[in-house]
Amino acid sequence: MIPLTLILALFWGILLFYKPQNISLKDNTTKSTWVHAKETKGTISLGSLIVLISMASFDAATLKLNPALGAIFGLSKQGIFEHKFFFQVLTSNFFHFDLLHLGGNISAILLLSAYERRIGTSRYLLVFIISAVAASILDLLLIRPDTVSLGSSAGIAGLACGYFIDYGKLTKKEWTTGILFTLFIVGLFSFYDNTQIAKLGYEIDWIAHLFGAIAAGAFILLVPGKELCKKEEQKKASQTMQKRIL
Amino acid sequence: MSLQDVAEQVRRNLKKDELFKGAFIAYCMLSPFWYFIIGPLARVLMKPYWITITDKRLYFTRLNIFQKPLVTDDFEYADIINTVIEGKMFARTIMFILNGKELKFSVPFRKNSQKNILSSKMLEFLEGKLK
Repeated sequence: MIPLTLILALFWGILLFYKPQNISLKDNTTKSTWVHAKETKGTISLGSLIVLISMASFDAATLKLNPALGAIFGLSKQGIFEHKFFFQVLTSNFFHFDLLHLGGNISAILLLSAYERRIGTSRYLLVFIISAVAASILDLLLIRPDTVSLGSSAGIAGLACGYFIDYGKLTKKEWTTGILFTLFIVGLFSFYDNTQIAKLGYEIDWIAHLFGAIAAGAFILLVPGKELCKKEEQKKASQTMQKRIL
Repeated sequence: MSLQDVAEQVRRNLKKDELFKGAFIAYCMLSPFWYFIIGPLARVLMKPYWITITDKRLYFTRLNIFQKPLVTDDFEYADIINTVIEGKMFARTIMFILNGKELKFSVPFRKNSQKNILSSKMLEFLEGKLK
């Protein structure tokens, strides 16, 4: 379990101690680590939950998911339609196959903390859950009967979509451009060297990635977020600057 | 929103007695660390800025990927501590040190004046003001 503890420590360390620049060039305020932690509490809880679930579900010797747990909590046609395990729609998004799978998704969550800083914790988590669940439901229609689908990448694709298009009200042209751009980025990760990954015993579920991004895009179109251009914040920043010069 | 709309919006909000000299698009470069972490995708994360030049100030308007303005900050030429301009054929790298921050921009450049692009006329004015 040492590698998993290291992943968790690294995740917390980077999130708490990497401080990105303020959006306004005049804003020179440095945020304390506590404020920083509050701003990224969604990312911290999501990443920690995923790593802790992996700690509980990985086989200690091989550092791979326990197959019995994978069959119960991973998304499969058999689980949903035969055993009525409807919770799989949600739980499949928090289980991972091995260290490589977990590491990749945790790094993506780490990068997408920028989206939470911009938009707020509740919307960030909402976009993740909506895209993850919607992708799982749609994935269920197309998945092969003998396959189990696992991983938080559908939710992450949704967050990536949010990062690129969640800027308040958009025109149809802007929305379409943003979605196509996100799908291109998500596609790069979905189709990149699939043969190497197949050797490890699993495949990338590109359908879930695709549906995750589209579901988040649809949600953002229907419920647009707040605009970033806050005049009050700009005024405050210029006042700080004037005080500093005086 | 097109860049022309952004340009109009910034020009309308210029301070009084200021003479508009030109405006151009610039992309704030990321540290090499990001290229190491996410490779060529770091290019996608370069932040676009709309820089407006007047006789007294420089206006930096941060844009999102749809070229919508997010925040505009203005700096007098005296506030800009240091500037380094390096040249290539079709691009310039301009580094400003302002308000304790080091900003390195990749700026598309054409000798003859074109819309939204740094021209030699604007560059000469900038070099004169920032010496």
